[in-house]
Amino acid sequence: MSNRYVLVQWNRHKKIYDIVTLAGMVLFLTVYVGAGMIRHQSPSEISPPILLMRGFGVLSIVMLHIILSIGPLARIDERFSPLLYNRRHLGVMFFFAAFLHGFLVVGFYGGFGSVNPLSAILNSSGGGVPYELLGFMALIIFFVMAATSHDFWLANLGHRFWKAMHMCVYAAYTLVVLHVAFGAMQDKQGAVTPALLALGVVWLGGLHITAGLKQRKADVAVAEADAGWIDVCEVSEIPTSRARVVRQAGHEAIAVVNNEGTITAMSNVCAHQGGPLGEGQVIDGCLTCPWHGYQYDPATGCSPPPYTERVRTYEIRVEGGRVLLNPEPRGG
Amino acid sequence: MDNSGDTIYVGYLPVPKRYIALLRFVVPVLAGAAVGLSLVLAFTTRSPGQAVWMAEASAHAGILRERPYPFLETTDGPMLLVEPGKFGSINRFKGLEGSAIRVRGTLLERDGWRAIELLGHELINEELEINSIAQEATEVVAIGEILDSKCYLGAMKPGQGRSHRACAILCLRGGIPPLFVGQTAAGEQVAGVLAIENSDALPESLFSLVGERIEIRGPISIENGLSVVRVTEQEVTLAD
Repeated sequence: MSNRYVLVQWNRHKKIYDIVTLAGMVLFLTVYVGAGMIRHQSPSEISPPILLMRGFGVLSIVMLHIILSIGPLARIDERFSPLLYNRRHLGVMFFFAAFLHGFLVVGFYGGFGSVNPLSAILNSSGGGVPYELLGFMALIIFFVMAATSHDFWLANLGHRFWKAMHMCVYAAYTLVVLHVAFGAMQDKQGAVTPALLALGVVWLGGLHITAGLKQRKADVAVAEADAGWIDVCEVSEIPTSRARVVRQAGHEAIAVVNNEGTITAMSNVCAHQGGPLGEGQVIDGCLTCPWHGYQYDPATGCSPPPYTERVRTYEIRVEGGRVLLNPEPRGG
Repeated sequence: MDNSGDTIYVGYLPVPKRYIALLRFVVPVLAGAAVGLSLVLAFTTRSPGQAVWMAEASAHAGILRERPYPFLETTDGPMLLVEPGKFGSINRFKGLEGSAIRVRGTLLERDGWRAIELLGHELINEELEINSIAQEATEVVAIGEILDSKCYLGAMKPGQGRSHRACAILCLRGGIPPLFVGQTAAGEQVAGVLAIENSDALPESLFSLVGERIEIRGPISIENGLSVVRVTEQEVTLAD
């Protein structure tokens, strides 16, 4: 948490996370390029810039799959949440890998000629599927996401808009899949590339569906028509220091918190990045977001001083051991 | 804060033990999977074929032929003439048809085909005796790919296929001689520079077929030692 903007709020975990990520990227590239050089030797060697551009391309796709897997994995098993904690750094590093892929393509394939290199690449599709353009569009989306990943943009754009903008990653992922399917995959022999690409799509699809189903099972769903007080559950159904999430169509999700036997309710949406507060835990008397550790007093919805974040709170009544919730926020 | 039990992970607090156990498993598995994947992908990549671009410059004498694209007729066979970068040499050799010249540059070579990236040239006063092969035209129907000769002969490896299309189009637009490489239905290999009727270069209308699987119908012949496929624009089509 922070009450001011700094470039990066470094801590030990972030440093370890970034070092491991960078080491992984270097390992992947080294093995890919090294194996490519051993497999295809002179006079049948692959040109080093092409080997490198392919390496960055493959690395980008692998990283994109890891990034998109982390969210649902953390929902399915919260022990994956350390991977989620610094996901934005992972995203920025992924962008640089994808950018270097594009940079090498534009420079090597589009350079040394009579026209602008970027224009040479983007205008080369003829009548076929413009897979180069698809890749370029994805890269633009990734650039916008990387450039706006800092908390400064989160605070100034508002987490709802920011979140919606960053959900464009799924559109960009679709563009990347098409970019590979209509581009590099057409040049490959055998079923390895199509099989890996299909495996990636099925893996991500399956993971998101599984996470969605698990969340749906854990949450309390309420029909929109049910106006007035909502019968949430038995008090005993909310573990101590944890919360249950109430979802009502057309309304913000609400986290009903059990703070050492005191039941309160607040918005389920963290003011920082829109994280699921209801999946967090009461630590030091504050409900703590599982994504980045932002904290809120369960009674007031305010972050402890000197922090200024605040979320909406809701009225709760406990009658006969059952928790009743007024879905209208306090103060309208 | 207690770092055991069911405490959740918070980035700025000590990592609970149950998270550490999973991370110690997941991170090595991810690293192993990354190594395995990069090996699989590297070892299943198609070979670009044997092609050489000499690092050292060499000099070659011969008779300049301007058509269909500038090449040097030499005692060792034809040698396509290309400029540095993605440019052909039409302008350099305009009006020099039949002249004895010596070129200097770096040689590109593949499957008996040669090209040279020019560093310079000079006219020479020598009687050169070159007995190039000539062969009458025979009709051919073949399926293959339009390539830019410079990349295919070794400037880029691989210098063919969909991924290389943008580069090939740029080369062809710059005047690099187009090459057709393919095979007939009977499996006979066909390779020749692609000369389009009434055109000094590959016409813009055919750029969309570069890097694609295409079919050509037309006569193939050997002219001053150079294999040439002569077609009209309409005789180059996408293969089924």
